[in-house]
Amino acid sequence: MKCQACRRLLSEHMDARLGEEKKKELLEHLAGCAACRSEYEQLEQAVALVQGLEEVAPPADLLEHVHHRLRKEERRRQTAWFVFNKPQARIALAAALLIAVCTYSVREFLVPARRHAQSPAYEAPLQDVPEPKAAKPGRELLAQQVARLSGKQERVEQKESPNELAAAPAEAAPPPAPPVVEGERGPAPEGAELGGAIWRQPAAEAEPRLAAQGTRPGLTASEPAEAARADEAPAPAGPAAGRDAGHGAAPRRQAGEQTAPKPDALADRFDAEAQLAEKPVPKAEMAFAAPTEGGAAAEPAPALQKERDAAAAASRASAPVPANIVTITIRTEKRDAVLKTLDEFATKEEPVAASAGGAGREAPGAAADEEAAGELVVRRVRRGHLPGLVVNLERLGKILEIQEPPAPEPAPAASPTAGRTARAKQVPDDLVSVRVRIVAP
Amino acid sequence: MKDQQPQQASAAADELPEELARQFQEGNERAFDKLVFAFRRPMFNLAYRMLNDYEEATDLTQEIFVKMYRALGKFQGASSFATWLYAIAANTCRTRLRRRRRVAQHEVPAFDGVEPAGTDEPGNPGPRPAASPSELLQRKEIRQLVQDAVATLPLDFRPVIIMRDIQGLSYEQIALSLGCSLGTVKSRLSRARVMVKERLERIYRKNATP
Repeated sequence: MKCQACRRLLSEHMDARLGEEKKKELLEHLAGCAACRSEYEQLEQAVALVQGLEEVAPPADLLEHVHHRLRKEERRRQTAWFVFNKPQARIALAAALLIAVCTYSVREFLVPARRHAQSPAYEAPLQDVPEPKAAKPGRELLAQQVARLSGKQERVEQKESPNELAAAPAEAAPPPAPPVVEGERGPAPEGAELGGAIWRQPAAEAEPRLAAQGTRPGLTASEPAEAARADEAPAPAGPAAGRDAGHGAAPRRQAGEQTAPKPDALADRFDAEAQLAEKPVPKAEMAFAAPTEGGAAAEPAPALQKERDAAAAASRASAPVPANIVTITIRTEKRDAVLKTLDEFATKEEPVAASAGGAGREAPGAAADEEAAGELVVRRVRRGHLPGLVVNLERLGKILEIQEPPAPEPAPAASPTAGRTARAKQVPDDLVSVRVRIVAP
Repeated sequence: MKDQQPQQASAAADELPEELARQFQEGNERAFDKLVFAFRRPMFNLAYRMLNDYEEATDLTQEIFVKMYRALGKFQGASSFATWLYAIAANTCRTRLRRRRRVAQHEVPAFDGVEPAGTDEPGNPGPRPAASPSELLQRKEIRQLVQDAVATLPLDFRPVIIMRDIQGLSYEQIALSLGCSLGTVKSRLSRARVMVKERLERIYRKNATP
């Protein structure tokens, strides 16, 4: 036996676990090898030291601590299981799940029109829209208008300067701007439904801002609805105000006075918009906003004002709401580029309604006036594409003004579900007539 | 070489642990107390020798008995109760040591022959002055050095030498408790004993040199 094999057997030999044959071999080797014999003695000594370690007494209260620990763990388990072990808890859990499922179902299936309207195609152009927080002064107007069009309210600005918002109606009145045609006007859908996700906001937030802008001159004399709404939208005073079929320049009213159309009338409004968009409006039925060319505002006669208020009150309930029209005034010399941009954003299914000075004239009689001040081009675009269009136009020139119809106030909601349903029904149309006035620099 | 009697249940001489386990399974909670009382010393000493810390050994012993309480209903009697309980204890010790190894500050320092700090254990010796090996052997603090030599063995070797040379279990019981083969037990025990011997020799040499 070699020393290496011998030393492997020393431990077992110490415990007397070797067989007779191996034990004999090992003993013969140990008798003849002093090194292995010394190794065995040292190992035996070390093992004796280990075996001589005294037993350590455990703590006397070990059993009590074990019981305490068991009780503690039992309480923990019961606490965790308590919630789900009781029948009441299970019923509550099932009820909560049921409510969640019902809420989801109501939102998904009872508002199908809204879901269809929000297809990805509406949001695609918005991806390239930069943040409307441009630092340049010239872009501030654009940023505000884009936010208005999209329904995105800049809450930060409001928080920082609440006084500015209060002063907004007076300041935001159209500056000495070129005349703006305001044919049909209708309440815009609420801001929350205007376009892509980044533009959405609750209508209650967008509404006061839109109303507070006070930049909606013009009205139509053709329909009772326009006449009725004429007192709601302030018309800039000026010489042209007298042309407004007997209506003087309307005094600016409080923003909160704008009335919301009832949800029941929205279907009628939708149809009216479609009809108005398809046929050109005769010149005689159109009203023009008054250009404020530095002249003083003409005060409306009190008698006329009263008549208008009475007519508005009488027709407010049953008036069909006209189509949405957004007027953008841009100063640029890139006429062709503007036309191309408009065509890019124009809806394919909705052909161009009319254009003054361009491919076609919206109203033959209006051409002279319009061409004198600028070129008017009309396209139908989807409301969701509107912010993108504004941004693209801004690249081609300076946007002087953007006017859009007021948004309807949301109907009072009796419950959260009813509120959502009401807001969804208030979306009359996602097509907007965009009129772009091209003003030569 | 002296023969060792296994540290077994002392207070339950009249009742076998397997019988107590059966009684517990039938609803007798007092049987659990008897089992704890019977195995409190071997379990605590196993924990103490493995961890080399009195307080932590106390906590680990409680954990072992809590696990025994939870698992007692599944005890089938295929092996002896002592072997079954040692298996629980070995697993619990291994888990604790691995967790402790992850926490660096709780790591048991490597055995280098330096005298470790004393514990609160009753009879724990005080600081050890330099002495000759023969004197050193006569002092009680040698036990602590041996304990340190055992407690700093690698995890695979520590329980084998503790169960065999301190607790007095047979090779077969150790194999069953650790879930390894008999050959593995023999090999590990042999290597563990050699490692302890080498560590103690290092101390002797260190103390012998002036």
